[in-house]
Amino acid sequence: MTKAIITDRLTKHYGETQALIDLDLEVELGEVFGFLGPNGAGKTTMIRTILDLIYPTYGTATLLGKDSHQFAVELRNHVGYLPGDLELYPTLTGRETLTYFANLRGGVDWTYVDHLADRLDSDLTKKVRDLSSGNKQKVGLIQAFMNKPDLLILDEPSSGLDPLVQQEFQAMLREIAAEGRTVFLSSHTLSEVERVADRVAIIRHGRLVVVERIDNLKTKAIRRLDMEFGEPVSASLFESIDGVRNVEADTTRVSVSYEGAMKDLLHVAMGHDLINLESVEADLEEIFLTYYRDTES
Amino acid sequence: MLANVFTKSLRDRQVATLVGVIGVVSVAFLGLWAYADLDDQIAELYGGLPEGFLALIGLEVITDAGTLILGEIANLMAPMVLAGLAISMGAAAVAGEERRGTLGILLGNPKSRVSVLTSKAAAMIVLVTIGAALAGIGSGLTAAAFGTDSSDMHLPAAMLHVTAIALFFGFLALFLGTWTGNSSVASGVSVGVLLISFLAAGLLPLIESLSNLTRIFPWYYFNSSGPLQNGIDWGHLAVLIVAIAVLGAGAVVGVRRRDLKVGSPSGEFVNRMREHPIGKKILTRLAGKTNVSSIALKSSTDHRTLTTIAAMVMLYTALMVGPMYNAVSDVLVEFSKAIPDGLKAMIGFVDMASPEGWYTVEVFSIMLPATFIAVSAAVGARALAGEEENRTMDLLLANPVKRSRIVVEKAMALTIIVVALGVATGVGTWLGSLLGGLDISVARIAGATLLGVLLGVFFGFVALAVSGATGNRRTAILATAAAGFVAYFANAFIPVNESIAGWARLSPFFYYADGDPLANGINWTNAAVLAALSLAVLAATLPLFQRRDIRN
Repeated sequence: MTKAIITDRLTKHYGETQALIDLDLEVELGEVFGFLGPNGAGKTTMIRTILDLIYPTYGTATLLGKDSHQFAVELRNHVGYLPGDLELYPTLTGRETLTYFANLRGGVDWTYVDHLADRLDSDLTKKVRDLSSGNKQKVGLIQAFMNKPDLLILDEPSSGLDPLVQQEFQAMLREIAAEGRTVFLSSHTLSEVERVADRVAIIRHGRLVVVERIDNLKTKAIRRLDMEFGEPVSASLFESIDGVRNVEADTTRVSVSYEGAMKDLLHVAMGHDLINLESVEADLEEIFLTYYRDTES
Repeated sequence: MLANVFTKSLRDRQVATLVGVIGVVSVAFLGLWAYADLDDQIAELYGGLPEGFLALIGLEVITDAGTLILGEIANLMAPMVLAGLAISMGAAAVAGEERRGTLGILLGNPKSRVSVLTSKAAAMIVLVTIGAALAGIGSGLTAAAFGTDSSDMHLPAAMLHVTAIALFFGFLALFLGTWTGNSSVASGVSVGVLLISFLAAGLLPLIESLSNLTRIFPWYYFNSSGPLQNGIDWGHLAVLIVAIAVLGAGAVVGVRRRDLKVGSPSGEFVNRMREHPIGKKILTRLAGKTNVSSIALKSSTDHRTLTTIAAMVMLYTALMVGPMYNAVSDVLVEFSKAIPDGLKAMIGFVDMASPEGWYTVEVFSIMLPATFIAVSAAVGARALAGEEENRTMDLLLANPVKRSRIVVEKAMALTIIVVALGVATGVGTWLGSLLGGLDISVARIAGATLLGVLLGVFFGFVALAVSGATGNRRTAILATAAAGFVAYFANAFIPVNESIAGWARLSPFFYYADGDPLANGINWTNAAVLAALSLAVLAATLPLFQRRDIRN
C-alpha cells in the first residue's frame, strides 16, 4: 500500500552543521501524524527537503508514492503546505492572496474557500499588512486547505491562533483524516499534537528519537500522583516502591512520579491517613522530556 | 551613542562601501589607461571650451588626462557613489528597521530612540568619510602611477566637499525616513532630489536668466567653487554643514514624536494623507491595484509606484529638454566647434549642436541608462531574492509551478516595466521635439529608445541572475550597479584611444550608443547583440536558481 510520506536516510548538511541525519520515517495515508521537536531540531529542514525547496545531501523522500524531487511540481497539485513563520504579500488582501495562489493552481472551489474562511472566522477583505499574526495565519491555513490536498504539511500551524479557532482548526484536521487524507503536523506545542495526532515522531538534533502511537506513549509515560495526608509523611516511604522515579514531600503533601501500575503505590499510601488523591494525566511534555532524558543518558 | 548599534551599522555597509571605492578607483584606472597618450589633445580641447563649461564640471584649467580624470572622479563619480551609500544608510536607519520589524526589538532595550538615531547617523558619517578618503587616496595613487602631476590639485579638499554633499543626501534620507517611516519614500525622494539637483547644476547655468537659480540646489555648494583646483570653499562647505545639521535635528524631532510602526511600510505622514480625502485619492491612484492573475502580472504591478514615478521623471525630462534646446543652441554650436575630431569619441561622436545631439547628451547618454538600469536592477534583484528574503518564495513554490517558470515570468515582468519606461521616454522625446520644433524623426526616437530598453533589460537580467544565484537582494543590486558603472565608463573612455578602441565592444553600452542611433537610426545588429546577451544571461539564470536551496 502507498504511504503518504516515506523518507529513506534523509540527510541535510549545511556546511559543518548537520541539520538532518539519516531520517527514516513512514507516514500512513489517512492519519494525522505529529512531528515533534524543540526549536532547531530539524523539523522545518525536513519539511522543506521533502517539499523540494532545499535538496538533501543524500537520502530520498517519497510523497504519495512519488519521488519528492523528480515529481516535485506534479506532487504540489496534491499537497497543501503552510510554512512556519508565515509571511504573505503585505499589500494584497486575503482574498487577493488566495486568488493569486488559486490561479497558480489552475483555480479552486471558491464556495469551499468561503466555507473555510467562515469556519476560521477570517476576514479576507483586509490587506495582509493590516492583519494580526493570528489572522495572517488563518489566510495561510485557508491557502493550504483550499485545494483539498491529499497531503497537508503544516509547520507550526497554531501559532497566533486563539483557543476557539484552534479548536475549530483541530476539528478540521480530524475531518480531513476521516476523509482518508493525511495531515503531517510539525509542532513544539505538544498539547496540540496530543489532541489530534494518531502517531507522533520525536526529532532531536536532526535525528529521529522515536515514532510511537500516542496511546502507547502515554502508557509508557511517567505519570504523577499528588497526595494529601492527615499527618506528616516521609518521602522515603515511597522511594523504594517499584516504578517510582521521583518523590517530593512537603510534610503532609506528597507528589510521586511513577511508571507502570499504581497498585503498590496506593497500597503504601492507604496505610497512612490519606485525605485526598489526584492523578495528573501524563502529557506529551513529560513524555517528551522522558525520551530526551533517555537519549541524553 | 550606542557602540553596538554603531558598529553593526558599519558592518552592514562595509562591503557596499568597499565595492563603491573599488568601482571609483577602477574607473580612474580605465580613464587614465585610455587617455594615457592624449594629453595634448585634451589640453587643446579644454583650452578652447567656453568658460562656463569648465566650471560646470568643477574644473577651471585642464592640461592633461590626469586632471580630467581626477576631475570626473571628484565631481561626478565619487559624490554619486557615496551619496548613494549615504542615502541607503539614511533610509535604512529608522524606516528600514521599521519595515523589517526590528526597530521594536531594538527599542525593547533600555535605549532611547534618539540614541539609536545618533549611533546610526554617526556610522553613516564615519563610513562616508572613510569611503571618500579611500576613493581619494586610490584615485590619487592611480593617477600618480600613470605619471600625473597632481601637485596643483587639492584632492583632500575635493574629497571633503564630496563627503559633505554625500552626507547632505544621507541626512535627507534619514530625515525623510524618520518622518514617514517608509524607507522607499526616503530613498526614492532623496535620489530624485540628487538627480534633479545634479541636472539643474548642469543645465541652469547654460541659460543666463536662470543661472542664479542654481543656488537653491545643494549641488551648487558642492562643486561650483572648483574645490579640486581651488581648495576648500569654507563658505559653501558651511552651507552644506548647516543643512546637514538642520536635517539631523529634524530627524531627531521626527523620530521622537511619531508612532513607530512595526513591520508596516506606512508612517504617520502617509497615514495622515490617507485620512485626507484628496490625499487618499492621490494615494489610491498612485498605489493602483496589484494584478494577481499571474506571477508576471503580479510582479510587474507590484512595482507600479516605482515604475510610475520613474516613467514620469523620464517623460517630464524628455519633454522639457526639447524646448530648452532653442535657449541654449548658440552655446552648443560654439561648444561643438571647439571640439577637435580626435576627441569627439569622448561624447560618442555626437554632434552636440544638433537637436539629436542635444537630446543624446541630455537624455540618452546618462539619464536614460542610469534610470532604466536603476529601476531594472531594483526589480531584478527583488524578483527572486526579494521573495526569498520576505519568505514568500516557499509559499510560491508550494504551488505546482516550476522554478524555471518563476524565473521566466519574473523576467517578463521586468521587461514589461522597462518597456513602460521606454514608452514614457520615447513619447516624452517626441513631444519635446514637437514643442521645440526640432523635427526629430519618430522612427529614430523609437530606435534609440528600443536600444535603451534592451540595455535596461540586459542589466535587469544580470540582477535577476545574481538574485537567483545568491538569494541575496543586496548582492544582486551591488553587483549590477558595479557592472553597470564599469561598463559605462569602459565605453566612455576606451574609444578615445584608437589603439585600444576595440575593447569597448566588451561593454554592453557600446551596443547601446554605437553609431549615435538618435541621429543615424538604429543599428539592428547592435540591438540583436543586446537581445542575445540578455537571453544568454536569462538562460544562465535557470540552472543557477534551479540547483540552489531556497533560503529561509
